[in-house]
Amino acid sequence: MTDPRFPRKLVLATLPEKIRKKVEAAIGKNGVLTRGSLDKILSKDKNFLDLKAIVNDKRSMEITTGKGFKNPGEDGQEFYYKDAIQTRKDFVDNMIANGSTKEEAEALAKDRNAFSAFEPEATYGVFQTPDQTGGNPRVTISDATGPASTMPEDERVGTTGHELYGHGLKYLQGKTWGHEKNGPPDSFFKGIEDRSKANFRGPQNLVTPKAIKPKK
Amino acid sequence: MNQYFLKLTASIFLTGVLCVGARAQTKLSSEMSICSLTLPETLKQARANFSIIYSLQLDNTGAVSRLIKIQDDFVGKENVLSCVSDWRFRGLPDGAKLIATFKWKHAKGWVEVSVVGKEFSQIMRIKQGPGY
Repeated sequence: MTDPRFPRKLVLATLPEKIRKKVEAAIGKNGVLTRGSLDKILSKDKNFLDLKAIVNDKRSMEITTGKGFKNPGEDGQEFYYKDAIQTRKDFVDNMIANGSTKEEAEALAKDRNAFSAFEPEATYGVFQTPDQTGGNPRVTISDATGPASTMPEDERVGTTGHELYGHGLKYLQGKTWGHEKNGPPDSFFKGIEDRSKANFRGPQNLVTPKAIKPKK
Repeated sequence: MNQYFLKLTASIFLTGVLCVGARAQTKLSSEMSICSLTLPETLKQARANFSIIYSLQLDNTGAVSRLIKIQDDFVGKENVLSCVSDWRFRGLPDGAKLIATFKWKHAKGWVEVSVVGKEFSQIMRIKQGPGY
């Protein structure tokens, strides 16, 4: 559904399906949502209301996709994604490359997994302030190419919500926008991520397989 | 932010001694410091989840005599060596190998340190970490 070349598709994916076309129609040919452009769209969806608040702010916010990002004076950070299977495979391969036999490496992987499961590893996206971009505040999400080519779409959509409606909006509101102790709690960001993923999947996909009774 | 991180760094240097089991005649024990390993600011800012993994080889005192990088694109061997230099695993054979894994979660910081080997396993979860 989302095309990595078009960050607008990621933003639209965080919104309920029934209003996506209206929001898309409000985007100008230059890719800009101007102040007031969403005012006539009626929706109580929290993500939409957050997007409208960002659009109606007197400052501009950029959203883009890319292979990574860079802050002034620091090394750049590349986006990447490895699922749990790849993470485990890399562990075994690296152990063998460092002198372990395959049997030893597999045994250690099994022992490690029993205590501390292999999990997906990734760098998904970021929010940067004007000091860091040299211009507008900016959200950059992985374009799901290269080392990030296997990044799941719902994680990219969830990250878009996290960075845009979490960090970005808090920044525009002049509030603590990071994950410091006095910042928004983890549950605030998780709520945004879950809502974005749910909007992306759509209501038809909210029923889990467990809820479906087998036919007699 | 930096002030906060420094406070955390200071407060998280806890040292614990845990008796985790018994071998035939030698009590197996571990002594570890939990370090707030330094990361690039860009990585802390990004929504990122990852682990760094090192193989540890022990000497006859239970100290780490050899450190081999298995996976680490961000922290660096010198920083990890500094962290594990006072770790002791007593009761394990000379030359025993262990795998140390440090897990980082965005918005939480370092959340877990695990050490696993053929005859030894320990996991420590770090709650209320630094965020970023």
